[in-house]
Amino acid sequence: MNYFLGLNSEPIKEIPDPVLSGVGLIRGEYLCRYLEEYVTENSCQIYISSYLSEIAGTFDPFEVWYRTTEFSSEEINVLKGADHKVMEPQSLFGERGVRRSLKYKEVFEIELGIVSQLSKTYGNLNIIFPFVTDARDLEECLSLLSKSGFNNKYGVMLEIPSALNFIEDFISLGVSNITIGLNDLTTFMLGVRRGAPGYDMNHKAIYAFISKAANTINKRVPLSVAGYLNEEVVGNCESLGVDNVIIHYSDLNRVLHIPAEKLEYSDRLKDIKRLTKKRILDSKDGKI
Amino acid sequence: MANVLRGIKSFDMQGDNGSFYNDIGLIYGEGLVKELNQFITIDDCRQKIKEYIIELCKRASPNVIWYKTIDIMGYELKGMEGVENEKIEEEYYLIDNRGVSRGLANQSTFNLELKMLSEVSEVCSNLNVLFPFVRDTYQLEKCILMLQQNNFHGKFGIAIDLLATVFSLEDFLSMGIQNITIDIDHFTTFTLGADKSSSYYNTTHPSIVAFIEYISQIKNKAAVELNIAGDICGLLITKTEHINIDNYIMDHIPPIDIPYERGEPVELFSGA
Repeated sequence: MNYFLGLNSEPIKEIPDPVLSGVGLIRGEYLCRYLEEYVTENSCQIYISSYLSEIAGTFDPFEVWYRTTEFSSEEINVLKGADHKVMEPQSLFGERGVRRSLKYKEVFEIELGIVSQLSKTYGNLNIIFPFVTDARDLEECLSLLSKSGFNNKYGVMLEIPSALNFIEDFISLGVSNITIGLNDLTTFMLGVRRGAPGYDMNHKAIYAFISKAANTINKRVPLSVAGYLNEEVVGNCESLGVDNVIIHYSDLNRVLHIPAEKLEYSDRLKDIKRLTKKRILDSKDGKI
Repeated sequence: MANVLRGIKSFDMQGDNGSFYNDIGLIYGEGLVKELNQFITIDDCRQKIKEYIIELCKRASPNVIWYKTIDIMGYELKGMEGVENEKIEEEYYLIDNRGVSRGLANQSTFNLELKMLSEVSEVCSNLNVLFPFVRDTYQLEKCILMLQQNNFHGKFGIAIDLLATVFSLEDFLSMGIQNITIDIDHFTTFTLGADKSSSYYNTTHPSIVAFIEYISQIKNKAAVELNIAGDICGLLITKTEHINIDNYIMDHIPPIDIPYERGEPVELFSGA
C-alpha cells in the first residue's frame, strides 16, 4: 500500500518525507477559502494556477491530483466573487462539489481551464471530481473536461453512498483513480456529523463499503482512501483491498510519525477552517 | 403480490370503516406527539397514545400492528410541552439525533415510550415495535434490553434509514428482528446525499433500487417481512415489483406521482 499526501493550500517547497508517493488530493476549495475569493476572481485564478504549478513541479514525476472545488453553499456565500448566493438550510445535503459545478457551468469551465492549461506543462497533474452521485454526473464533467483540452488522467470520488453502484460505469468512462472520501461517506452512511457522538470511520459498515468497492474494482484501477484519517483506519485499509491512503499534511505527524519540525504548515488547515467559520458567523450576524 | 398499507401519523379514526383498520402498516410515534404538541414525557400524552394504539390494535385484530418509536428532529420539538431534557438546537437537524440515537441518549425518556408500549402489549398481543435509525448492533442490543426489562410481549424490527443498517443486516437478522421496513424518504436522502428539496432527490434512482434489491437478497435468508414505507410513488412500485416486497406502507393512497426535477437518470446501473 502506498501513502499519498493531501494538501489544502499548504505552500510546501519540498516533499515532506520519502514515504509519500505523490499528492493524492489537493482540495481546490481550500485554495479559495485561504484567499477568501471564489474562482470567478482573476486573482484567485492566478493563485490556483501558481499553487498547482509549484506543487506539480515539486513532486514531478510523481502524480499530483487536483480535486475540483467542493464547497457547501454557505462557504461560497462568504467569498469575494461568489456568483450565486444560495441559501440551503441543510447545506451538507445540498449543492456541493460537481452538483454546484454542473449547475453553474461557466465557473466550472474557468476552473477546468486553469488545470487543463497547466496539464500541457505538467504531465503529472491530474484531476478528480468530488460529490458525484452517478455515472451521469461524471459523464457531464468529462464532456466539459474534454472541451477544455485536458489530456492527463482523471478520477472520481466515492463519498455519496449511491456512487458505489456506478463503479463499473466509472471504469468504463476511463477513470484512472477512484478515491473514497471517508469524511462525508461516514456522515451519510451513519447519519452522524463529523465530531458528533457515534461518528466512527472504523464502523463495520464503513469497512464493508470499502471492501465492496475494492472487490468491484478488482485492481483494474487504484483505489484510494482520503479524509482526516486516524491510525486505526489507515492500519486496516490494506487488508480491505485499498491501494493508496491519502494522509492530509496536518495528520502526517500523528499518523505517519513524520517529525513535527519538518511540517511548518501544520496549522494551515485549522486556520482556514477558523477563518471560514468566522466569516459565516459574521454573515449570519449581518456584519458582512 | 405486495399489499398496500397505510402509514398512520395522526389520531385518525374512521368510524366503522372496517377496511381502514385492516390496512394499517405502521404507526409513526412522532406523528402522534406532534399532533398533541406534547412530548412522550407528559403523562397525558402517553395515556392518549396508549388508548389510541389499544383501539387500533383491537379493531385491526387479528392483523398485527407495528408502532415505530419516535424519530423527531430538534426543530420539531420547539414549543412542544415536556421537552426540557431534549436537544433542540441543531445545526444539521437531519443528522445526529435521529431515531434511537435520540432515545438512547436520553434513556429515561425513551423508557417511558417503551414502558407504554409494553403495557399495551399486555392487552394487545398483536402490537409489535419498530426501531428507526439503528446504526449498529450495539444500539439494537440496548433497545432489545430495554424492551425485555419492560416485559414487552410483541415482536421487534428495524427501519432502514441508513446504508450502515443495510451493511449490518445479517447481524440484525441474527438478533431476532422480524420486520425490515425501508423508510424510502430517509434512505433516499442519506444514500444520495440530497434532502427532499434537492433536484438530486429521487426515490426511484437506480442506486436506490439496487440497494433495495440487495436488502431483499439478504432478507431472503430469513423468514422476516420486508416493507417499503414513506412517500411512495407509482414509479417506485413499478421499479421494485420484481423484488420480494411484502408491503408498501404509504403516506398517500393512492400513490402520488412525484415529478423528479433532474429527470430519470440514464440506466447505467451496474449492480452493488
